[in-house]
Amino acid sequence: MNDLNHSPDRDGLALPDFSDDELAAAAAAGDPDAFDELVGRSAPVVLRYIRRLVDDGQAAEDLAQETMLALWRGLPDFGFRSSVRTWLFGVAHRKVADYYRRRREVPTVDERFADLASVQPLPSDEAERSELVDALRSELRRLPPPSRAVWWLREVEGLSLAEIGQVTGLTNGSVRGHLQRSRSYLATRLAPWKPGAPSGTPPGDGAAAGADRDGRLKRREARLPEGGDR
Amino acid sequence: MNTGTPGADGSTDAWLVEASRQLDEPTGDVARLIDAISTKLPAMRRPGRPLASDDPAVAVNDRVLKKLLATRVRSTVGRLVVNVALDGSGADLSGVTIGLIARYRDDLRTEADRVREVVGTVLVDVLGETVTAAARADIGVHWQDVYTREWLT
Repeated sequence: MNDLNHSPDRDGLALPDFSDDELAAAAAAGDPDAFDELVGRSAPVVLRYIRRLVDDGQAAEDLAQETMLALWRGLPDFGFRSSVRTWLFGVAHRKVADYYRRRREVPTVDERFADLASVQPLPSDEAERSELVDALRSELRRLPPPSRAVWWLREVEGLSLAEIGQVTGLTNGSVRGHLQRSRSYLATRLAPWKPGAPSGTPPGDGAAAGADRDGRLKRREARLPEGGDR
Repeated sequence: MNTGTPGADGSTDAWLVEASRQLDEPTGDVARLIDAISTKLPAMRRPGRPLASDDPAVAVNDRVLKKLLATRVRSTVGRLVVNVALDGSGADLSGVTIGLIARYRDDLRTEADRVREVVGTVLVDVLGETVTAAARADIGVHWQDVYTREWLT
């Protein structure tokens, strides 16, 4: 990218000042610098979305690359009936679905939260000694892929329910259902890390489990900076 | 207090959302991805339509000309070019239409004149004065609303 693209023009506008949709339109018209700027913004977002759905890091990178190249190919015919971001997530989602289909691991929208009825407000074993972010990463992996995708698109990427429906191909009601159950699941599983969480024994937990949780909370408090929870 | 329920409004608790924003991918992975995309793009570019020029030794296609028009107008006028149409059949160029995104308070008439000037200069620089005479006399400039994306009339 050359200096021209980041130099403010007479009105103080340079490529970083334009929206994704404006950049996409300019890229479609033949402005390669606009596409570079769009890739710089979108590639990290697409990669982290795909990484949430595909555990294999190399496969995720390959899928992200395919998604961005599909953006390039599709731009001339993109009608801007949706935002570029929604369109991009939709392409990424289909790439992931194809990936699982090829691996005969098709995640279906009918997957049930079989383990949700018995979840306890304890972090997963794998994450026991890790920070909240690691625990969250671990718990997200336990969610069925459609629920994971819905939660991520809503809470991290800020898409509307209708946009999530466009991306995932789910009905509005199904999107709501996945989102509600994901929220409940994550809030329960990650409760020990919640700022100001009480140290009482959770319902259904035995004394040993309660003591174990207390120990974890003490360890967590020890990790917090002075001043405690936010 | 029940720590196992989402936020009171049914949304995910803010502390959880905040944590999720820290799940970014390593910078090195992103850089490698962008490099890979940049490497593969040239092979995906469509072949262009050859254009006539004053100098037979100079070969320029429509894709190159569109790129130069889009970047030169953007850098000079400060508005994004979202449409470039090159009229004419075969290698002949008979007219150019440029579509841009307007900003509030833009004096569209004045800006359009600036765009025409830049386009004319690019045509002469790239293809030559003689062969572009007709096209330089027929430069259309259209503006798109920054929010509605509707073409302004």
